[in-house]
Amino acid sequence: MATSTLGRRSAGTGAAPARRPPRGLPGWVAPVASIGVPVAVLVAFVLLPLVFVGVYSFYSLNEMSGLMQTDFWVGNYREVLSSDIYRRVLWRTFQIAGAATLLALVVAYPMAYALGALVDPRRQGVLVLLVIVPFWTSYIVRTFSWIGILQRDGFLQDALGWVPGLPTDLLYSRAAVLIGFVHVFLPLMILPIYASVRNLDRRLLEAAHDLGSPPWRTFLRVTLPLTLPGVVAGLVLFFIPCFGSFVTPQLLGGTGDLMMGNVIATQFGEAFNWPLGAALSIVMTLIVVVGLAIFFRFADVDQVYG
Amino acid sequence: MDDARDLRSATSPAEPTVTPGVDPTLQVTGLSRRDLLRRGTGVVAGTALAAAGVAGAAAAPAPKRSAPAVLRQGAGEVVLYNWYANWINEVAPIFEQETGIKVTSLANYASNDEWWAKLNAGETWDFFIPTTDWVQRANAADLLTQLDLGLIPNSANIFPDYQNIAELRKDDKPTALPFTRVYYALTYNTEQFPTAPTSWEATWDPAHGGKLALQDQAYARVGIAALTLDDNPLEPQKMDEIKGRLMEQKPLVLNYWKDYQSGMQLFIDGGATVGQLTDGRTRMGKDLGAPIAWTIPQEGALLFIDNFAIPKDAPNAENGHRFIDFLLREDIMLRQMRGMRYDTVNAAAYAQLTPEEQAAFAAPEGAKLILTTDLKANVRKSIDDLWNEVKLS
Repeated sequence: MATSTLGRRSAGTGAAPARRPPRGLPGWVAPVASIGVPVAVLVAFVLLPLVFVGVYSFYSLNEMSGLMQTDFWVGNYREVLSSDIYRRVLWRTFQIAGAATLLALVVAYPMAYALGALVDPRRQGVLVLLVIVPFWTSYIVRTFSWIGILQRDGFLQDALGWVPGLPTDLLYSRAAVLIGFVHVFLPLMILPIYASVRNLDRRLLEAAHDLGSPPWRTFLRVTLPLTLPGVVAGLVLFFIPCFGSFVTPQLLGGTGDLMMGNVIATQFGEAFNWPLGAALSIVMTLIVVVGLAIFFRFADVDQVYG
Repeated sequence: MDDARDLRSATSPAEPTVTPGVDPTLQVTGLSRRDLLRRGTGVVAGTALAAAGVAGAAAAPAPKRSAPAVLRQGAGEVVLYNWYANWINEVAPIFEQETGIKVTSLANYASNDEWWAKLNAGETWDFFIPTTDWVQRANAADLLTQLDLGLIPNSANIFPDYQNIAELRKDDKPTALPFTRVYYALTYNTEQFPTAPTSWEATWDPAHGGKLALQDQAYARVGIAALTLDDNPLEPQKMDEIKGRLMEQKPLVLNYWKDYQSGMQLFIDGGATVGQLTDGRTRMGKDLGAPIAWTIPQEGALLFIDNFAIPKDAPNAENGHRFIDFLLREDIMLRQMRGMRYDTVNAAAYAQLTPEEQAAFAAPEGAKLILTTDLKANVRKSIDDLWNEVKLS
């Protein structure tokens, strides 16, 4: 939702002139193709799978065979909504994903600001590429690499063991999960903020300076509000994959770092309870969609996007 | 034959009866994912589901197929789908050379639910390796070919007591043949434990606090806690006491590992000195230089069996039989034992091992081993809930 809004905004400033349809094709072909293809892709790869997950969430398990049987049973939703266990897992998921998102913002904003405002524009491309490069490596490999870094007598201790107070037991802890999330999804936070920083009108900063505003006030009153769209987009883009993740807490987390993604994965694997897993997935999806809808309804998006 | 490898003698009389085979007459109505696709969602839906992976994967029962399994003539090819990649990739060229049958390997799976999802979505192949509880489910959904043992003479190599496991049969005919067994063993550091611990209580000993590594699997955790309470690990009754035991143990745990590689790594250089790992991974870790060993404690241990099977709709079922026969040959099974380090139920392969090797694979004499079979849905749910509560605490 955030990205589409941003997309509409940017389209107005830098959109290429509309192409004419090739000669010989009716005029409706180009618009239908340009709208129809993305819609078809979304329907095929997002909507239909979601519909099927929704359908399965109303199935039940046969008590004798343990196999899924096709009926219309709301018991899975009753279970999800009434169970104290799932409420607690959900709350813990919010806590972990929220903390990771805030930590990522703290790390990403200075990087994005430096990248967009302080680095020579001719060199920004290379640095942006470096931000994206980790995405070319598998999520799981990147997460596994943190085991070698954080474990006792691992790379972190080898390199910084002389630092007094350096924690030696970071692996298998909440801190390790947060570090893993921040590393894995950081580009999702940096890139939208970087785009906002690049679009900053420098004249406003100069005006604030000329009017005697100290740098911190200029940042709070000018820079931050103008880059807020990027911050909002980054928060949303970062939070959502953390919210549904299960690999990072599984590999790096401690004995209590249970997230909803782990519970859902277990339902599809060991527990062999796909209807319940489907119901949990639908509830998670609804939470994200409703959360975003409320956010964009009450957050005065026009104000946010200036 | 070594009693420890004899399934019947390995399980004590007091041990709970394993979950019986699923009633073949069971009528499960409704639509499978196959049906959903067939009934008009069309090509687009099919594409979407294929891309959906977990999201769309359905465990719906397959439509009942009344026709008996008729072996189709092989087409000079056998298509494999498995999770023993190192071994299979090593021996497949030998099979090709000996038979002239072309081997095609699909991407490997990491867990049974992956093949289940694909099989229910209409994909098929000629050979795969399901675990016993998933064989039971596949039998209930009528997804497997009934094996013609006339085409698998090397099935005689299987220990006699593993040849007629009820869970691996449907309508009194075999649908899967066992080949490896995996113990959820008590693994320990031999420098910390000069003699092997005799009880799972070692994993509740505060002396090892912060050095315990245990598998993050509800059925293993609850099952082993049940064993310490003299309860039935496959249908535990003392749930409150089990929860109390697991809560008591949690502060001592360094990590609940999820994948076997991580579990092994914890014992090699991750600081774990005692806990639960598989016997195969313990052997592998020992081969890598870690001072570790495994044992079956007096309370017993859970036993998992991996099996060879052929899907019901396999295009080259006859070649699938030939490939199973090839893998059950002692020299081929020995390559698995020496490479992937899993124990087998293959008497002919065992006979080829040196006494030292046999000792490294064999469970202790008279060990109590509980074959893990499919649990009832309500039991699975209550065990799963209990484990989530423990992790949340």
